[in-house]
Amino acid sequence: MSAATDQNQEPSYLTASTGWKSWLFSVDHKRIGLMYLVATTIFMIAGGSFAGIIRAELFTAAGDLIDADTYNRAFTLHGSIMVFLVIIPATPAVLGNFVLPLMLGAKDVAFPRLNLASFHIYMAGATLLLISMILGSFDTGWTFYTPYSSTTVGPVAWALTGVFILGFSSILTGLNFIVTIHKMRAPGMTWMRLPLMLWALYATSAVQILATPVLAITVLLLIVERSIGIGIFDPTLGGDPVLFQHFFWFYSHPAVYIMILPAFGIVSEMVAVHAQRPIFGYKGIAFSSLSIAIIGSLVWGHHMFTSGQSIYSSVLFSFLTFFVAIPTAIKVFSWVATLYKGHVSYTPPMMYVFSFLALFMVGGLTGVVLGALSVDVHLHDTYFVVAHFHYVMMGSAIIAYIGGLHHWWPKMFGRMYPQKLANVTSVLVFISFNLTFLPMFLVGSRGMPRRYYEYIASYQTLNQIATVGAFLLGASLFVTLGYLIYGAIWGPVASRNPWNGLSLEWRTATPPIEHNFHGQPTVSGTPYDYPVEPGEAPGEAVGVTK
Amino acid sequence: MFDAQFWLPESVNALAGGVDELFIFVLWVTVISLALVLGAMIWFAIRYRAGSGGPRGSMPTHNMALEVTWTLVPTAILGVIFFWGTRDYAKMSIPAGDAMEIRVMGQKWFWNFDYPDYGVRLQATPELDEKNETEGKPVGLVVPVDTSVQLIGSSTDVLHSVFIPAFRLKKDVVPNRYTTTTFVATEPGVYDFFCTEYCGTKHSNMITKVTVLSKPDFDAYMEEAQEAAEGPADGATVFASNGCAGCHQVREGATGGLGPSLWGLAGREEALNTGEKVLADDNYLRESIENPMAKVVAGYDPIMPSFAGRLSEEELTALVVYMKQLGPDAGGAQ
Amino acid sequence: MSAKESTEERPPWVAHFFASADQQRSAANFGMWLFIGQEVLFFSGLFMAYIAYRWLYPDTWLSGADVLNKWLGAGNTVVLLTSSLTMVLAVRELELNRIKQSVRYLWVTVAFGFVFLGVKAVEYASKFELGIYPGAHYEAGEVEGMAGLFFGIYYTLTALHALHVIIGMGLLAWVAILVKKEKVTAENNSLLENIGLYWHLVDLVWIFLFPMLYLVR
Repeated sequence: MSAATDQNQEPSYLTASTGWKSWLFSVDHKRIGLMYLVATTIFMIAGGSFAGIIRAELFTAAGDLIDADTYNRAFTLHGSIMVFLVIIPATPAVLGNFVLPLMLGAKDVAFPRLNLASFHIYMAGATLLLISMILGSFDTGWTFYTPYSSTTVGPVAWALTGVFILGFSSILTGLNFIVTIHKMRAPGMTWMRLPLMLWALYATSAVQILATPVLAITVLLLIVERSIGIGIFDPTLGGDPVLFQHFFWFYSHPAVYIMILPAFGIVSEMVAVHAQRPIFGYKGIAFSSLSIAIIGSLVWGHHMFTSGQSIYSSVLFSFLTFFVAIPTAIKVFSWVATLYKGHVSYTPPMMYVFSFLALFMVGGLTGVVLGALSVDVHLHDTYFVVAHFHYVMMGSAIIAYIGGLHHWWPKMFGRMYPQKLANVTSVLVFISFNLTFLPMFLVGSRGMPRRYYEYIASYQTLNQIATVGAFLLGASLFVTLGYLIYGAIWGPVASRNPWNGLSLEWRTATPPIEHNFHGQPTVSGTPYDYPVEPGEAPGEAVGVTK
Repeated sequence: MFDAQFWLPESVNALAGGVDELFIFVLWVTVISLALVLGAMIWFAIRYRAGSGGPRGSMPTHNMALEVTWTLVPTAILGVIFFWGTRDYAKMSIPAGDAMEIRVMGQKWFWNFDYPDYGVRLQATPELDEKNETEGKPVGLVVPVDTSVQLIGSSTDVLHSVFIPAFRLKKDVVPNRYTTTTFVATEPGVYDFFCTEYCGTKHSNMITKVTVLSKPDFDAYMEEAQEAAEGPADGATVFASNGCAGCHQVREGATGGLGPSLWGLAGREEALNTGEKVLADDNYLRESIENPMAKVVAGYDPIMPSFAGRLSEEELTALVVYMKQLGPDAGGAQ
Repeated sequence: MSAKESTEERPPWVAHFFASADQQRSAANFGMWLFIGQEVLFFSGLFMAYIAYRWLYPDTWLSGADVLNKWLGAGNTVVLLTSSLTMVLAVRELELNRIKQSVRYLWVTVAFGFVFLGVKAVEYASKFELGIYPGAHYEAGEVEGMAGLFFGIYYTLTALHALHVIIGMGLLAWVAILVKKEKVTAENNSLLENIGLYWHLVDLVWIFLFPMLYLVR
C-alpha cells in the first residue's frame, strides 16, 4: 500500500508503524477510526443478513421459511446489531474520530488512551452479544419490553450485559470529543468559526454523555430483575412494566438524535464543499443542533401513546415532538438554500446529499404524522412506524454516513475510488431503498402490525415488492463496499485537497502524517470562506498558514 | 392516492371521525413540502451546476425575511396538526358515561371477552374462531352497532395490545392493571382484530375478529351465550376456548408444540425434568392445569401458565375427561 | 512554529498533543466533571424509580424505612464525610510537597472505605437474618404491602453505591502508590485531584441516599 507523503518525507499515519500490535494498541485517533470502520462494516453485514432473513420470510404471507421463534430472534438481532453496533457508533466513532482533531487543528483527541479503550470496550460489548447469539439468541425485540423480557427463557442477560458495556464506549467517546472541542481548538478558531460537523459532534456527544447512563441503569435493572427478581418491573410484586418503557425510551429517543445529529454535520460539510459555497444560515444550523439535543431529550413518551399512560402525558409529549421538528426543518431549508448560486458538482458526496435530502424529508414528515395523537393511535406498532424509522435511521443517518465516507475517503487513504461507478451506485441505492420501504407505509396504514412472522393474505403483494427492493439494496451496498475497498488499495493517488475544502483537515497531507500537523495551524476565517480558486486553499504541505 | 380509502381500511367507528381527514391533510402537507423543497433542490442543482452560466454574484448566507418565514410557516402548520390530533384523540379516548362495558383479557396467545352486563364470557382462540366460523356463529369480540362500548383491558402475563384497524383503535393491555378505550361501531360487519404488542412465539397468531351485529341480533346472541354457559361443559370446547391447542397437540403421531402432546398421555408414565417418573393419572392431569410448575416434563421449558382460579370445577373435570379420551383405546379426539 | 513548543516551558509529563501543561490539566479536570455528570445520571434513574414507587405505595415506604437502622446509616454518613475530609487533606499535603503525609491520608481514606463496607455488611447480615431479602425472595413479615419491592430497590441502590465505593478504594490505593513513587507530584497532580473528585461523588451519592432511604417520614 502506498500513501502520499508530504514534502518532508514523513510517512503517513498508515505506514508510520507496522504490525498488528501497532494497530490494535494504537492511540492514534485516525487508526482507531479505521478500526471502528472495519468493525462497523462487519456488523452491518451481519445485521443486514438478519434483515435478509426477515424479508425472505415475509415474501409470503404464510410462515413457511423458518419457524416463529427463529423469526423473532432474527428481528431482535437485526435491531440490536444495527442500533447498538452500527448506527450509534458509525458516524461519531468512525468519521468523528478520524476527522475531529484534524478539523480542530489538534494533534489528537484530549484522551487518546481513553479513545483506544472506547474501541476495545465496544468490541467487548459486541463479543457479549455474539456469545448470546451462540448460546441460542434472544427474542425480546431490541426494545426489551417487560414483562416479556424479564420472564422469557434464553441468554438475555448476556445480551443486556453487552449493551451495558457498549454504552460505556459511547459515553467515553462523547466525553473525549467534548473536552477536545472545548480545550484544543486551533488559535483563531472561535466557536462561530467551528466547522458545522463539529457543532454536530458536540451536540451528539452531549447527548451521549447524558442519555446513555440511563440506558445503563435500565439494562442493569433488567438484569437484576431477571436474576434476583427485585420486583421493579414485575406486576405481581407491585412493580410497573410500563416504567420500563419510560426508562428505556428516556435513552432510546435521544439515541436517535445521536444517530442523526452527526449525519446533519456531514451534510453541512458536504453541501458547502461540493457547491463551493458558504453555508446558508450558519448560526441557525449550529444552534439548531443544540436545541434538537435538548428538546429531543424531552419527547420520549411519544413511543408510548397507546401504552396506557395518561392522556395529559400524551398531549405534552405530542406537543414537544412537534416542537423539535422546527429546528430540524430550518436545517433542511438552509442546506437547499446553500445550493443557490453555488457551483454544484455532481460528485458522489453531492449525490448522497441529494439522496439524504429526499429521504430525510420523507422520514421526518412521516414522523410528524406519527406525532399527531389521533393518527398515532392507528399507526403505532404497524409497518408505518417501521417505514418511518428506516427512512430516518437508514435512509438519512446511514446514507449521510456513506456520503461522508465518500467525502473523506481520499483523505483517509490517499487514493480515490471510481467516481462514476459511485454516482451510478448511489442512484441504485436510492431507488432500491425506496422500493423496499415505501410499500411499508402503505401496508402499515392498512393495518399490518409489526413483528408479525405471518400475516393476512391481503398484505402480500406490497411485502413482495419490499423484499425485492431489500435484496437489490443489499446488492448495491455490497457494490459500494467493493469499489471503496478497491479505491483505497488500488485507486489513483489522490491530490491533497480533491474537493477544495477549506476546513483544516484539508490542509494536512493526504493521508495525514501520524501527528496530523507539523506546527500548530491557526485560522482567521470560517471554513466556508468561498469563493476560493481550486488549488488556492491553504495547506500545510505548501507551507502556507492562513 | 389522496383518498383515505387508498391508505386506510374502511372506518366504522363514529368516534374516530377526524383521523382519516387529518391523515390526508398531513399527506398533502408532506407532498407539497417535498415538491417545494426537492423542487428547489433539483432546480438549483441544475441551474447552478459548476460551469453553468447561471447568474451568481454574491452568495447569500442570510436572509432574515426568508428565515423568519420558513420558521413561522412550519410552526403554524405543525400547530394545526397538533391541535387537530389532540382534539380527536380526546374524543377517541374518553368513554361516554353510559358506555357498555366489555372486559378484555389478553393472554399468550388468545383473547377473552367478559360482558359483565350479561354474565357472558366469549373467547377467541384460533381454533374456536375456526369452529365458530364453520358453524356460522359470530366470531371473536361481538358488539352491537351504534352503541357506545368501553373496552377495559388487562393481561394475565405480558404486554399485549388490542388493535382494531377499522375502528382506528389501539390500546396496550398490561398485567395487574386496567387500560380503557372506547368506540361506537357504525356498520354491521366483521373486522380484523390484531395483537400488536410483541408477546412471543405466537404473537402473529393472536388475531381474531370483531363482529358488529345489529342490536336485535346482538341481544339474541347474548341470550344464546347465556344459555350455553349454563349447560354442561364440553371438554373439547373448554380445550378449544382456553387456547390449549396453542401449545399441545391432540392428534395421534403429531409432533412439535411448545408443550407435550396429549395423545395417549392419560394413564402412562411420564418422565419429568428432575429425572423422576410419574403416572399421568387424573390427579396429575388436574395438577398440571392448576400448578404446571410442580411437575415439568423432561425436554420442555417451564412456560405453561397456571389456570388455577380461571376454570370452574366443572370445566376442570370436563378437561380431564376429554384428555382421557385422547388415546388409542378410547376412540380418539375430534 | 509556535512558541508554545519550546521545551523549556514544557515539562516532560505533558503529552505531545497538548499545547501546554495548563491545557492538559484543564482538559483532564473537565473530562472528570463530565464523567461525574454521567454517573449522577446513572444513579438518578434508580432515584426516579424510588420516587415513583414511593408515590404509589407510601405506606410500604414508611414502614420499610422504619425497619432500616438509621444509626448505622448515620454512622456511615459520618464515616464517608470524614473520608472526604482526609481526601481533601491528601490533595493539600501533596500541594505542599509533603509526600509521606499525602500518602498517609490516602490510606486513611481507604481505611474509612473499609469501615463503611463493614457497617454495610453488618446491616445486610442483620436483614438477612430476619428474612428480609429483595423482591420475590422476601420472607419476613415485618413490612406491609409491597415490601419485596421496597427492599429490592433498597438493596439495588445500596449495592450499586457500595460497588462504587470499592472501585473508589481501588483507585485511591493505586494513586497512593503513584504518589509514593513520585509519578504523581505537586505540579503533575491531575490524577490525584480527579480521583478525589470521584471519591467526593461517591460521598455525595450517599448523602442523598441516606435521608431518602432511612429517614423518610
